[in-house]
Parts: sequence; structure tokens; C-alpha cells
Amino acid sequence: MASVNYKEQLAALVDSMLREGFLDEQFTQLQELQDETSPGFVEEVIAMFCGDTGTVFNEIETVMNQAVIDFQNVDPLVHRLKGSCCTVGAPKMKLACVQYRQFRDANDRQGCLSAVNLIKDEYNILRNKFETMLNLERMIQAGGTNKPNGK
Amino acid sequence: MDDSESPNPMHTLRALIVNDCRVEQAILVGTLRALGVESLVANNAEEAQEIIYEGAVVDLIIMDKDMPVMDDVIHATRRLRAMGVTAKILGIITFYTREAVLDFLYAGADDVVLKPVRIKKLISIIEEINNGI
Repeated sequence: MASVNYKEQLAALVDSMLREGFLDEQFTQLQELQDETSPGFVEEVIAMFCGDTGTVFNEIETVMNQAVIDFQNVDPLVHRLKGSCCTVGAPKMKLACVQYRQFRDANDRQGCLSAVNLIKDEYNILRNKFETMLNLERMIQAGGTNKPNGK
Repeated sequence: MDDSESPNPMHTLRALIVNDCRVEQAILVGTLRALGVESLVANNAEEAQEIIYEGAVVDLIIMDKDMPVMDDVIHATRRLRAMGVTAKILGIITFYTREAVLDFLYAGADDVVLKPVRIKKLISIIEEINNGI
């Protein structure tokens, strides 16, 4: 009974993340890739995404802590974030990366700073929700099923 | 080097993923596996060329333009075609610019898409490969 409840909670969480734009259909496609042959696929991808994103943010922070910020050094890092977040299916974070690019094209340094902070904020919210998702997944799997969406 | 011949008509398709981001690598490998396609992975354009040069036969190459040395990817695409590689080459880009698309196409890519690579796109490419298009 407990695992049924966790499945419902997980489904509700994913639904709300989809509704609120934290996730999109790309993520639901990832969920469809998880099966008996790759039971931990979603968890593995999320863990990789969070690990790599954390590393990129450390590099961004190093650049941003310089006396004079050289945004040319931030560009490839945001580029990387955009690539991975849209591949995972995180549209809000992707949009923040696009906004950064727009500010860069307009040579708007203040805009770039705001955009970098927005990317961080969106990522932090997403990461917290992912942690909840993975905790629910683990509780479901402890109950004997490996389907992330209650199937 | 002719990589378009198959040992038998029902051979398992094989892809070479050229991408330095492990998240994107994992998702592409997983997606292609679900579609019945085996994958090799190269972390950069140079590795990709080495893999092909050493004799790997692939049906599809998915080339990410946005790796640290971007021009290498275009150059690698051109070189692979010059080597006689006839595999489908799908270029993927992170931010759309007309220039990025044209660079890839002129270098010999068959198609260019914006990330993320959708399953529907991969399915249509696989169908083209299977139909010899």
C-alpha cells in the first residue's frame, strides 16, 4: 500500500513539474526509456545532470568572482548548460540560458548577470524537485517495482 | 572506405555519437538502444575520426557542433566525407543560427537539428537508413 502511495506522489510530482514548466515532453520520453534492461536510467541521468551542472556552476562562479567579468568565458559554460538542460527536458532552465544569450548578443552586462542568476535559481528549484523525485523512486523500488510513472 | 555495405540486410544499425557532454551521451545512447541501434561514443571530433579511420562501420553519426573546439566538428564532418564515409550525418546545435546550420550542411551533414534530438527525428532517420534513402 505504501508503494502505491509513493507511486501516486511521484506521478503527481511529475505532473505538477510538467504543468509548471519545470519539465517537458523530453523528460517524459526519458521515463519511457526506463525498463527492465535499464531500471535505473532516469536516476542515472538525473544524477549525471546534477553532478555536471554543479561542476559547471563552480566554473561560472570562478569567472564571476573575477574583478572584471569576462563573459566570453561564461559563454561556453552557459552553452553547455543549455545543451544538457534541454536534453533532460528542463524548459525553464533552458529559457534562462536563452535569455543569457540574448543579453550577450545585446552586449547587456547587467542583463547577463541577471540571466546567470536566473539560470542558477531555476536549476536550484529543479534540483530540489529532482531530489524529491529520486527519493520517491527509491521508496517505490524498495517496494518491488521499477516503473517511475506508476505503470 | 565504403561503410555502406552490410553483412546482411537485417544487421543491427550502429551509430557513432560525437558529444563531450555525458548527460547528452547517456540520453542519446539510451534512446538509440530503445530504437534497436547500437552506439559508439566519441568525446570529440578527433576521437570520432580515429574510430572511423580504425575501421568502425556505422550507419549514423550524430555530431554535436557545440564542443570546445567548434571548428573541429565542421572540419571532421568534411574529412569524414572525404574519407568516403557515407553514413547519415546528423548535426546537432545548441543555439540556432543560420550560419551554424549552413556550415554543417556544406561540410556534408545530411540534416541539422536543434537540441534536444527528438525520438521522432531519430525514428525518421532510422527509417531512411533502412530504406536506403
